Amino acid sequence: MSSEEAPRPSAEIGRGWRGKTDLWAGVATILFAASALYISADYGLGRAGRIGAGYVPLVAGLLLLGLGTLLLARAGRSREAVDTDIAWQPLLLVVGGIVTFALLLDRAGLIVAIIATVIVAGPAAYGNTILSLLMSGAILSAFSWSLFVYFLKISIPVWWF
Amino acid sequence: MELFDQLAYGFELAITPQNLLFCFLGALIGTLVGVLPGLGPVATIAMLLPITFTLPPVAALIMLAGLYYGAQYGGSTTAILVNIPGESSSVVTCLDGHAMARKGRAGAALAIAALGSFFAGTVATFIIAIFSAPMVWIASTFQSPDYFGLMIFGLIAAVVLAQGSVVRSIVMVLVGLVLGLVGTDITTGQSRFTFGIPQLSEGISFVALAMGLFGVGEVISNLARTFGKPEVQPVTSLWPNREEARRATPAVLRGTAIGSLLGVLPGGGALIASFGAYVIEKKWSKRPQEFGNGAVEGVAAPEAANNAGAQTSFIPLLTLGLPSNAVMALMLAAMTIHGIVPGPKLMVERPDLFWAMIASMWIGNLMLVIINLPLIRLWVMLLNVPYRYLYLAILIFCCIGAYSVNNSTFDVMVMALFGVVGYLLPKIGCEPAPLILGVILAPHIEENFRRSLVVSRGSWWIFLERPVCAGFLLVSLLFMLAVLLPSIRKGREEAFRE
Repeated sequence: MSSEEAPRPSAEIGRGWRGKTDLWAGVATILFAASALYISADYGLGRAGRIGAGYVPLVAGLLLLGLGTLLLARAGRSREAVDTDIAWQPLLLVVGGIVTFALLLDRAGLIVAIIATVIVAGPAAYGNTILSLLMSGAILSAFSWSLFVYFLKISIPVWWF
Repeated sequence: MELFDQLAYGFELAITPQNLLFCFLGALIGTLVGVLPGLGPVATIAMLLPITFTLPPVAALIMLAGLYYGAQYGGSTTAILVNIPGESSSVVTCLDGHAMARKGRAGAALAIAALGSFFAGTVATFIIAIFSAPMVWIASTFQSPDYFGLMIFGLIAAVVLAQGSVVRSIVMVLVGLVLGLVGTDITTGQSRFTFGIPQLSEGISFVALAMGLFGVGEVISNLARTFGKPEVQPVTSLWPNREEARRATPAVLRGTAIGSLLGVLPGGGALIASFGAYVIEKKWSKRPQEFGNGAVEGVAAPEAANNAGAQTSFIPLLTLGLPSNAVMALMLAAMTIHGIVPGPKLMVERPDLFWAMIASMWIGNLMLVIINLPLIRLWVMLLNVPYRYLYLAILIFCCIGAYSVNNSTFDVMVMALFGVVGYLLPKIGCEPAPLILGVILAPHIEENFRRSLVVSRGSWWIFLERPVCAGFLLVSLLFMLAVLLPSIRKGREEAFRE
């Protein structure tokens, strides 16, 4: 659902109607609604008494389109300003860490995945050093192994073999 | 008394050494994670769900109850000691609870919160037991259009009673509705919004979605703030003195009454309950100037109301299958994973699960008092751990949790995506909580809508011909009109500003 992501506020917004939450929420809503309507266009509406798979998506999409337009229309009068301050570094590192975990778990197992995730996501916080991250990784993998694998017996690959 | 027989039956099932152990562990781990700053009950429960997967249903429910109350109480502890509310309903606790802590009465504030919550929880357990049977009886007369009307009413009421822009919240509900339809349509077999990805054919993993929106999103926004070492107030004497106890008792009683009533309403039941209780205490007090500076009533009443509300919000879930807030949506998802379908049939078909669940709520509350007060110094120690270590642990547990629902690394990716969404949504003024309700209710709404139209052969008039459904839709419409009228909107804004 890529259209669900908020539009990137650029530097000049924050003044006038361009910096209003309603404007950007409205744009995001309309984009989301339009893609939902487009994707579900050929799902079939069924016939009276036996609605098809496309019926509810159509209703929801049209309602969203209407509400998105309403948000755009009232953006001029709204007083709420959008928060343009996006913490790119924590955002990218944390998401990168999770993606690392997802990519490594099946291939290299839990222990390697945890240590790699900690090293990728660790620099997001001020004060973490490579040594403290290696320590955190070791402690977290030992703890996760004993809780999830040994104690709770959750099926999860521990090593790459 | 039939009621007591049924409760006794529930306790009989719930009180086995093994179940008590799981309840204890649940409450312990729930508090442990709930105490962590910036982690609300939704993220906590989502993260800890996997540890109940390998248990039999009754034990899993009991552990969930323990986790739930532990997470709630953990949030209050952080609010009192560090002044960081884990969720919106502990914002009120911060006001006077933290003020008491700064005056050196942290122990007393924590004890009052725990004992007040326990009392409120006990009363609310009886309320659930008393009102469940009549609610189930009413629900058993419901047909598809009535359920459809009820769910629409539940969603509208949740949106109207919660904070924030009503229009944007309805947008979030509808977005959730579309996301909830992802996967194979049960009736027609058609794949919807799956982009040809096989892992999406059974829908988006609810746990991954909730953890992304509430857990990962929170972690990113916490990292964005410059975190100093949190200033944790020391805990000295754990017992309230006579004066404090005398002032707390009536406040707890009032808070329990308000919380039990408001908790049943859809929408942030516990939130409105704790705000309402605080405002009433302040208005009725002979010493309103003390509020905000460590008034005992300002801790006792909202904490009791919060817990009573948290408990009575199980009534619509257990009897109607209708989750009234994000936490209940997650509890619904958790029960579904264990093959338990809450709703009117649960009490009739699986009375064992139903009454064991109610009994375990009370046991969960009791566990909290037993473990929390003695362990308070452990929580204080935990609060001193810097966030730069904590968030790594949170991330790892979220990853393992998201994976273990379906043993799928794809779900971990889904969580990462919704983490981004959860971080960005508040920036454009959108709350993720209504989205969660939309996702969980989407299949139910569609199914009842579809069945209604089968009965009526495609005519929408059926929703107005059934009195129950028409009533729900009419009240929803009135709710909508009410918030769109400027005078009432102003009043609502003021109520939330308090």
